Amino acid sequence: MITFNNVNKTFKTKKKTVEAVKDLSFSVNPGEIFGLLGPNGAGKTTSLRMLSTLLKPSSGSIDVYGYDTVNSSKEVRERIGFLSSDMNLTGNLSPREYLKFFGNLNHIDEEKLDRRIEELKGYFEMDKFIDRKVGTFSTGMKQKTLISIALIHDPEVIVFDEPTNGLDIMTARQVLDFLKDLRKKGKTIILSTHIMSVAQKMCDRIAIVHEGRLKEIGTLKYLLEKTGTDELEDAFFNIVEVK
Amino acid sequence: MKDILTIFRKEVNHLFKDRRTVFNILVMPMIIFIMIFGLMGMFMNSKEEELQKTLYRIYTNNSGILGQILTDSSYDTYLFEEKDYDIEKSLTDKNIHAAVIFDGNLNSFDDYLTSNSPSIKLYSYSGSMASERIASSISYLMRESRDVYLNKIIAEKGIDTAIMQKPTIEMHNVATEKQKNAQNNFLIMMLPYLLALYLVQASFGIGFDTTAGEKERQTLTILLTNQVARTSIVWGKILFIMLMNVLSAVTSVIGLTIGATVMMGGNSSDMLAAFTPQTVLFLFLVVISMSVLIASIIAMIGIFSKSVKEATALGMPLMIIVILVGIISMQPEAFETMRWLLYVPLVNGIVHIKELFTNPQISYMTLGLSVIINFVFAGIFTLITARMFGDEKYIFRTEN
Repeated sequence: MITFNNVNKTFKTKKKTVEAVKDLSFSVNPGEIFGLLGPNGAGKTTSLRMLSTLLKPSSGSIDVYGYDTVNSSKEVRERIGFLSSDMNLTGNLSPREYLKFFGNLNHIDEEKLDRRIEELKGYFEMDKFIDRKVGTFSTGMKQKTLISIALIHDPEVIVFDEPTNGLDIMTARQVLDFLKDLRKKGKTIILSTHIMSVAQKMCDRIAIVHEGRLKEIGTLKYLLEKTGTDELEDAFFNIVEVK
Repeated sequence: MKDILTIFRKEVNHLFKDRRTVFNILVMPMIIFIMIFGLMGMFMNSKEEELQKTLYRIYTNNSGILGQILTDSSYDTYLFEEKDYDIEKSLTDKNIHAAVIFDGNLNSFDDYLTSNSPSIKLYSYSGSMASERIASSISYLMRESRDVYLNKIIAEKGIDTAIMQKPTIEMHNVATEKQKNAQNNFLIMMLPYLLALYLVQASFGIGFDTTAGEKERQTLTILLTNQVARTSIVWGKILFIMLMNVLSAVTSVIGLTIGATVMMGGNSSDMLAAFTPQTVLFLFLVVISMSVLIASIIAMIGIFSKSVKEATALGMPLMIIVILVGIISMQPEAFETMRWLLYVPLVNGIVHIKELFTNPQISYMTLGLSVIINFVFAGIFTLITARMFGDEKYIFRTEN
């Protein structure tokens, strides 16, 4: 179970103070795909960065399987695989070398690590580029490598921030199919997106966030019934009160 | 420790796959030194050859006396006389190499030694090596002629001409062989400066790339969402920067030695003789302590900075300090009155490297203390960097 308890996040600069997340509370059940849906600047990325221990909440707390993201950050990181749209890979190492490196940092034994690399390589059809330098890769190839890195330690919770951003439709489809497979294996998946079709197709439950606040949460059916609409997009605009 | 080594190995692996960077950092300084000294050697040799072959044009108002003086000259000379000749213009235009004017119109050089007032004017132009060379040769030959004359006079008076060589002065330099060796060898005098400079210089490229560069390229976040401890990341990167600093410094010193000895015909045996096992051991300790300290400062600046550009600007004072202290260290008596520098982190390393080669009474206790001071400060900077790694204020302080 993942729980956000009255989480607030404020960024202060010399010139201004920005409240990125305001009193956010919700829970994510084990084994579900949970979507954070909202426009750019809604606070989705900040929320997921707090969940992945990169940022600390200004107030409130986040629990991941009983571990607090601030006090037990290492234990939290052991359990999550995080991928954000602002992550990047550059340079001369190949995906295999990166996977080995992150596998070693996760203290996976060599034999198991090799098996896991082969598994991920097979799933994401990385045969043709797994031993090439990532510096020469297309966005899709980089995204496949980044996803593989996030999943190298076979985490219980997968946190993906805009995972299909910049991908061609083939690769995007492949990524989404993979997430569905992970759900079948009992993994808990949290993904943020501003693409309605992705949320509609993928998520068991959706939280609609706008201007840092949680506006509504529930299954697709619940959101449509509540707003009296047929499409998630209409429901979204209805909930955030944008005409 | 395992995580530190994993990070370190990844950084090394990453760098060594980029042959161009490896070439620029490790091979280029060596090639540059060899090229600089090679070109200098070539220029000096060809210039010397040219000076030997030159026919020196000398204007004079008395070619008879000057010809006599130049009889034993090893240079080919052409003497000429001319009325109303503009000496200064001819010298600066390089139409002549020197001019010798004998005042008083006396008959021989000996007359100028016995006569009171008339003098000899020797004109040269310091903008020309050939002019300087022949002027110095004429001056030397005139003194030689004077000594011959004096010997003759002394002999005529029945005095032993050996008086000209007296008193016998025995020069005793009380400096130790180690000091003399260092003072006579510019390579050793330059060593503290070069080591310190190259320890810092490599960091500016590689150190800022692996810290500020990773922030700029957004590749650091992946590492931070892994379960590895922040201190392990910092130490892994510091070890990597340190290794590159040392490798860069060592290859530069090798390049300098090859350049100065092979290309310029210097004496490397003096240099090699200075490297006793004890000196090498202490030099190693000092260099390692300086390198760890520099790497920790560079990592701290790199993590604080938004970009490599900002990091380079913020790191510039460090480079300036090293260059200044390094240049001062080339003076034989540098630091003798500034013993407090031995307790200033980093600077103490430069002072000790110099003293290792020049001071026979070097205090190994102070050297040990300096090494400890450097390690303590490196530890403090590493802790600060590790804290910055865990602080979103610094990690997400980027230009993006």
